[in-house]
Amino acid sequence: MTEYTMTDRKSQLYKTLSAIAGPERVTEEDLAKWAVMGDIHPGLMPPDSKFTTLPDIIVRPQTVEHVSKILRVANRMRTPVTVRGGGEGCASAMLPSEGGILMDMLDMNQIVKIDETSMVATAEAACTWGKLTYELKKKGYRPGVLGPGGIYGATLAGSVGHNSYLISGGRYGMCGEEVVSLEVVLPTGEVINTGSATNIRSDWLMRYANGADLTGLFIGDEGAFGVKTKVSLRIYPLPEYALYETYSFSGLDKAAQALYKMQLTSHLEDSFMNAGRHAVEIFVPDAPKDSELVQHIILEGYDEKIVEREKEIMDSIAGQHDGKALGSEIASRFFEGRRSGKAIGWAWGFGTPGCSLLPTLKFPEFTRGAYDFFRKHEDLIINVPGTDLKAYYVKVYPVKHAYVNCLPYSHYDATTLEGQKKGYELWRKLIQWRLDQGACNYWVGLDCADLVASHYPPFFHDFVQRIKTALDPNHILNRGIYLL
Amino acid sequence: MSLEDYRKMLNFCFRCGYCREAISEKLGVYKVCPEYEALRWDHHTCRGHVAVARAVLDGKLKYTPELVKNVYSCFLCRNCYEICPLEEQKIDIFKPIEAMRKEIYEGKYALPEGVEKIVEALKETRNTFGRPQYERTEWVSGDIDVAKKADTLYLPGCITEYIVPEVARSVAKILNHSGVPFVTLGEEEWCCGRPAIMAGAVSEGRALAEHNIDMFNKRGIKRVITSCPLCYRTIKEEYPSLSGNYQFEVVHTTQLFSELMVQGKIRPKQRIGSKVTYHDPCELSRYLRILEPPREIIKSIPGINFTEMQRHGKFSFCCGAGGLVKASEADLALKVARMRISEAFDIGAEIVTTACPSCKWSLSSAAELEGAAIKVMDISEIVARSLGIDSET
Repeated sequence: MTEYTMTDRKSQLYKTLSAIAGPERVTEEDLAKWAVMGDIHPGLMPPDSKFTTLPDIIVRPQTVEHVSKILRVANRMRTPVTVRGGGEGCASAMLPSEGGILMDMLDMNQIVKIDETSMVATAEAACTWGKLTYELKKKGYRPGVLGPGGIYGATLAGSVGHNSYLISGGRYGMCGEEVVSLEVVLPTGEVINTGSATNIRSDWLMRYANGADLTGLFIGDEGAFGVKTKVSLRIYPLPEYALYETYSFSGLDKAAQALYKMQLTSHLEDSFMNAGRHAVEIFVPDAPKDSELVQHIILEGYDEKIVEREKEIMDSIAGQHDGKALGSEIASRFFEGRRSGKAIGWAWGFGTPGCSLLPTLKFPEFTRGAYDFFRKHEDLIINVPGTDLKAYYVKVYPVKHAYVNCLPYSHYDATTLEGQKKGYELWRKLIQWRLDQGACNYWVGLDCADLVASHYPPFFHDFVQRIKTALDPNHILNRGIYLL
Repeated sequence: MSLEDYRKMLNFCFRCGYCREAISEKLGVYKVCPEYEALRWDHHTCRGHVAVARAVLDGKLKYTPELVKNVYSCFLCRNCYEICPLEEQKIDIFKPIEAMRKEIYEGKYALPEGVEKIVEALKETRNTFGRPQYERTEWVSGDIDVAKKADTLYLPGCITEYIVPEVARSVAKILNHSGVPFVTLGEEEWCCGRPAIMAGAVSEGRALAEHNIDMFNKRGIKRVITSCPLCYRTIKEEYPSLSGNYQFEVVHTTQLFSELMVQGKIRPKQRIGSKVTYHDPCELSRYLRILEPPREIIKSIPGINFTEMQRHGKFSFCCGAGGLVKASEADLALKVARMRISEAFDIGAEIVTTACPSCKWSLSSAAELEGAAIKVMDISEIVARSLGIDSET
């Protein structure tokens, strides 16, 4: 192995990466490095965070061959590589922990194929959810999940690596559940395809084929096990009918029972709940005074009568748990906005997302605990603009048949560095608290990896380390994820 | 305002990335940032400019030539402001960018060559091109009647007078046709001041503006008509703060033509049997929300098959001429102009209308380079043609 001095190494890297991707797609400019140092995680602008540092060089590959060559070079030079998609993730998953190469994937954003035989769309890593949905609609299709809160800028591979919860997760579950195949460049530069694509004669795609589900290995890995260069997702005909409703519940437990039963019918396309009286007062001030939870639902389908019948079933379930129907208007407006990229609460700036995966029936207790948590930290939380109410609340989204993504969320003063530091501390405390309650994260970036890893059972970290070492013997890719 | 004054706004950006790419049929938005679409680096997005500005404020970045170049590569088109999900604290990047340009100019850092030329030209000749002032009046042909005295002023602006004088002639002929007497400032017209402000030379810009205000008042002007959206916004939004003696109103030609149509003074009659589209100038659509008047005017012309480009209205795409980028980075500006004109090809447009001399200049150059059989016309030209009073087209 060649030994390089630091100056040699940087100069060599620049020349080599320029030869691979073209000099116009490589930069060492400081301003370019500063511009990529951030995702939407709360608080500090990295690298003020102790977990991150500026990259040495940024490269924008355009092809899978570029990615492969860059990784081979990185291995030869023992240089860390951080893969970055849209930069809209949480918790600094795509920020470098030790300089090195930052691989900006945004030039790889094309839709490769819409396969109506398998009903699968394949797109390059950095195709955004907005673009995919837009192009599919022209052919009368949609993906199952419609993208995360940051629907516009978020990329397919970024969401898959992040294991994101996405819009329409009520019916389709977490992002990874809709993935049928991935093209991945391994840290050592080899390219693999997963699922039915492992049969070289198959020209169609299905997830569970030819042995172990290796697609799953790369879902939620935050890029630690390989660079996803293509993502293949299930697609569906656009639904022709939609019905909406808003229900008010006088207790969290009754609402949880109702949601649980609604989920078990499999009819629910999606739902959103403002959980707790405080959230109701902020977001649905006109709701009945006894309302502890307001739930919006959307039902979609291809037959009007079936959708109407599904709505009757939902009304009945809500009614059995003392739910009051408030009409379709608020829910319709809510889902219209959500699918147009309006994320709840973003209008006041970003806050402390506490994305917590739980069984549906456990969310009431968790929600009560979250409010206790926020009440203890009210001094760090700003008011809802124009009101006396403190800006904290709990949002609940169903995840397929019996789970929820429960988000305790608060807003801090993001306009000052001091406020951001406090917000960041609060967010870390919130992560710790909810992991202690048995709730699970789906993102595991640098800024929370220590907290997640502190809840691992014995041997688990070692197990993950063995996988990492097998795939990435020189430990170059996305260092710090899973504390690897 | 200094960059420090925008620290709160800059801190509030949480890097959602909507300013980099947003595609939504429901909102009518298809990609956002001309600078990013052309250059593909994050420091060429709004959130990238925010990150860079924050790093400058925190002393982590200095005004190097690379950084100066970056600051002058924003088109100030404000599409990112439209899509920003924040409510009360939307990131209005043009403000911190202009503050940085001011710091660069006042700090005597080297300006991009083309920008330096504009600032010097403004100081020496009072127009952006460094040309003699007498050339400002050369658009006035013998068949145009400029009144000796009137309380309505037509102010074409530098780009119209020096680059696309046919626009001024069309406007003047429409005014004559409609019986609206008007005067001009002739050689006493100075640049509106906005290019200087955009360059960072704020006090020079103010001096230019103050001269014009003085001229308006000395001549008893009650109404200023302009066909340049940049002049229009500057006079409307900035002149009042510069003079306690602001006694005039300002209208853009699209507003004026609408008014004249309602009054029955303009009745388009000659058929223009072409497929026509309209390019919204950023200043009109996003800064001033003048969206419908130009469309109503175009649609009133007999025979026109009006078709919108994919990106139109408040999410329209910049023509490439915004933010002085045409001066600071001509290649970048042209690349964006070609992107925009290709959208007109995509819908089979034969004529692209617009309501801004900079847009006409930029899109015409792009169309020529693309070798396309597509004509770029100011809205005044197409109206004049339909009225049968335009001898040029």
